[in-house]
Amino acid sequence: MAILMLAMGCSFVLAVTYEVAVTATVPTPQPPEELDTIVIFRGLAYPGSDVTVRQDGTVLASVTTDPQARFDVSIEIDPGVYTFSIFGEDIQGREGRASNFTLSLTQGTTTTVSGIFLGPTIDSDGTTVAVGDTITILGITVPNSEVNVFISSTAEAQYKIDAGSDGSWSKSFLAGSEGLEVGSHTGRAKAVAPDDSISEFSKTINFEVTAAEEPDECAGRSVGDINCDRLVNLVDFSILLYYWNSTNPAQPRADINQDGTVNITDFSIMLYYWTG
Amino acid sequence: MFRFLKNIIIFSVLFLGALFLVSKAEAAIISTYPQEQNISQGENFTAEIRLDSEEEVINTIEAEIIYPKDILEVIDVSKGGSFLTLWVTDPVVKEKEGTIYFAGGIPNGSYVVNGKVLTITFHAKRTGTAEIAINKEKTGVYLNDGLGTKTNLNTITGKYKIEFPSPYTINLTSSTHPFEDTWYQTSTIIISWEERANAAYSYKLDNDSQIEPDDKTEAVVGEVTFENLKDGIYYFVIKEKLPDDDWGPITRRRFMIDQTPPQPLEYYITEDVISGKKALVFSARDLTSGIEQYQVQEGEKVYANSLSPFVLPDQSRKKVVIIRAIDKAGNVTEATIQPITSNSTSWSLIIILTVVIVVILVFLLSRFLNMQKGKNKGK
Repeated sequence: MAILMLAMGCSFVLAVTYEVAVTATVPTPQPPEELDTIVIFRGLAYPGSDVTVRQDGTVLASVTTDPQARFDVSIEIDPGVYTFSIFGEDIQGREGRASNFTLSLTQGTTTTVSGIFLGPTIDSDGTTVAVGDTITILGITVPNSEVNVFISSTAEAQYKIDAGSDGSWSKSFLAGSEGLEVGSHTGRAKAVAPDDSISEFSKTINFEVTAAEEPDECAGRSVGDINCDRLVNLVDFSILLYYWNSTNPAQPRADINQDGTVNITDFSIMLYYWTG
Repeated sequence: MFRFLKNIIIFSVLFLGALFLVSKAEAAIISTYPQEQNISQGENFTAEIRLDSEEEVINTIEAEIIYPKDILEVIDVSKGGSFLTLWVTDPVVKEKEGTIYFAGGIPNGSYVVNGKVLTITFHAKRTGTAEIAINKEKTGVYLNDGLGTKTNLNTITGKYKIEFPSPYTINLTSSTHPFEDTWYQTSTIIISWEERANAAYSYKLDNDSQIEPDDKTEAVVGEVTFENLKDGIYYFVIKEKLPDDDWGPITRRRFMIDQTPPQPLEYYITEDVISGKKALVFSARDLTSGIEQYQVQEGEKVYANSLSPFVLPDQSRKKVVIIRAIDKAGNVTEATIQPITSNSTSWSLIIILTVVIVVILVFLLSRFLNMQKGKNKGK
């Protein structure tokens, strides 16, 4: 339940049902125009990894996490409304999913966003796997966490894995087994740290289980990747607009959720899979 | 009987408790900012549409804004500074219905805390209370969950009181910002007014549209200059006090500054949108005044007000293509795409360059050898 308390000269607190908390402090009694406007981000990512804070495409700060995957970054910025994007890159060079925060910063205040827990990094050792072969899904998160891996096609199945003391985790799956029949699948993961805090979801990976040796060109591609060029970007958005409001479009991948119409729901799903 | 009444009371408490929990479910909030304003008839003013996602990650919003068309007229709708970066439908104003519709999104979603969606400039035609409301039936905020799930939604209606203008207002002019509804690139604002004999003035310049001047008399009167201002919308408020009189009503005027060009363009040339045709797909974002138009220039020909996707007239791609994003203050960001040269053309150039270099080297070598010969003869 969200709780909003405002006390002039002290701080206002927006408490959240998840771990993320946003606080802002207005020091008194000095005139605010003489004080700096600061935003602080604190949380968990991956051990020994680089965590970057971006705003409108510009890198504002980059810090390295400690062996427990903790980061704490403070940025001085002009007051205004900004969308900050925070993401980490693990020691294997895998970039995790960004968490975005749109904040309204007032002159002279220090705004702290704490309790951030970036989703695990995730990758697979292939995008297409034939029935009978194995596919391994792996990544890195906070050391000694419990990782929940979700594999989806028509239904979602959940698997629990323990991450090691270096934060790495992996699991192999047999293509063709229950839940991994021939077709398109997605995989994503969430971590539960030793202190029971829960991370954001990881990026979503896509893979295809095939019976035939030769997969089609769109096999294993994200549903948002309409032109199957491995990217979900402005070109796919343009294709979506081209077929906007059409039913059973000539390009069937434009109807991302396959409900027969290209509309706002498909747009929202595309933005979820956006790679840029 | 007593047991029956007791059961009724217990059931009612449980039922109301459940209702309370349901009503407290997470919900995004769309509101206007400011939520209340006092405006003079005949004045132009701005109202922002804002979104708070209430601790959820959202990526899409579509909304219909309803305004009283008999009281207000829409002068401009700006996407400048919006946290949305992709627009499925640019804001569409339907004057006869008194509605504004738009749909846009932010890739990969965001937590949004009081984020700006749009800035609308209204003209107050008539007196009365103007309510700027959100039509919930045509409005939706979608979660960034890969499923296009609509989240719960609450809306807050803005109430703007349009009053008869004060019989006396101070006539403000500006040599740097002549028109209130126009964006200018200069960061210096000069404001002038005709001061009355023995009158005192109090004034203030601020980004807050609701700011009021205090009761302290200013030393500089008649003309005031504000320098090195950052991009944004400013409000100058001023009041006058004649000798042995109270302070008069406040006169308010808006000034808009945008010195910053749009952000770098994102663009692609692709045949994936319109099959068999090379089209230019592009998008840019402006953080303050908003994009006014795109221009595409192919060779010498300029196509103003171009829309994406833009089918290239020269499908052979032999001409330089320039894309320009121009914001409402006239700032420009452009990107240049070089033409494609064929392999045979490239090889011809390489061969010609090689021949030229060889000729130059042979010439220099022969001159050197001749000089050496001359020296030896002298000995």
